Amino acid sequence: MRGRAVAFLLTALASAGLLAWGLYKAEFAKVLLNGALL
Amino acid sequence: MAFLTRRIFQGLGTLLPNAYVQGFLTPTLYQGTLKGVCSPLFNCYACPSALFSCPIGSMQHFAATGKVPFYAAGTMAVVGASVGRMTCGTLCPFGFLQDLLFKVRTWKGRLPGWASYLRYAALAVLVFLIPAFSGVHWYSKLCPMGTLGAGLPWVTLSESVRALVGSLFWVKIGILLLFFTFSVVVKRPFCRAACPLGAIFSFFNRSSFLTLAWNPDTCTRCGKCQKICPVDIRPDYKPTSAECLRCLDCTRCPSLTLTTVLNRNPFGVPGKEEDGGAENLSEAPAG
Repeated sequence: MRGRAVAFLLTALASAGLLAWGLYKAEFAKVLLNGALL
Repeated sequence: MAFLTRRIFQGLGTLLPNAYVQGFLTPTLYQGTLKGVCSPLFNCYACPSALFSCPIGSMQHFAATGKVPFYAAGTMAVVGASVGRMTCGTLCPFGFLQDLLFKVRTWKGRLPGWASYLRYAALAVLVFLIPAFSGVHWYSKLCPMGTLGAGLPWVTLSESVRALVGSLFWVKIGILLLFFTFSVVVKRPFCRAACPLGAIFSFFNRSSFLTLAWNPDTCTRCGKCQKICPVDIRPDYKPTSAECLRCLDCTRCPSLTLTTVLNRNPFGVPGKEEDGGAENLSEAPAG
């Protein structure tokens, strides 16, 4: 259980870091619309 | 979560991300600020009514252009680290559709265990590798949700799009019909064997903040949890399974409950610090 708590904290930190870097770079979702059409 | 509550959430998960009704009337595609936001759902952003972006489509686009999708991957990682696959079980429109199709009364089958590895292959090969090497967005081209949410509406609504219909469109229709047919006889075949978004969230199921706990002291191993499980697993065998959608249907049983990864005694057993997760499986009665 303690191992899973530590794993959660590490993944949460890594995830938040990844998202923060993406936001810092103003890298919002790139919309590609044609792919799904035909 | 009560079964009816989950259905309400699934309905909201289908309607709210597709609230741009004007898109069907005009027909136009919403391209405002919200389209820059990735929703943690399998919902095509080329659908005329879609407000948000598809995270898989976005990640695939970055792979095709040789860039790392920090924002899309980070958004999905934050969601996954928080709730694991809960959005699959409680909000995803395509999952909701498969749940409804499985209600059709007919012969029912089971998906072999190895099929669940296919979704990881779909994520690695179709979303990242092939777009990275070819520059072509192959997952979007084959995606059944794209066919349902975007391909079919646009071909119906727009004459200019209809004129562009080629053989690939009929391949997409075939894939969609294949998954529809499978969904009638097997529980959630797409989520288990083909969904790359589910594959991403699966990585986080074991260590997500919200998690499922099982109490071996009260469990009778009756197997009813598997019967009501939308992905046909035994949550009592492994409550942190990568297959679990965290729909919480099985928490109707008092031996299973939703808890947090920080809670060391989710069932409030006096003097017991550890929960009854997968780690306690060896203590479980046989049978």
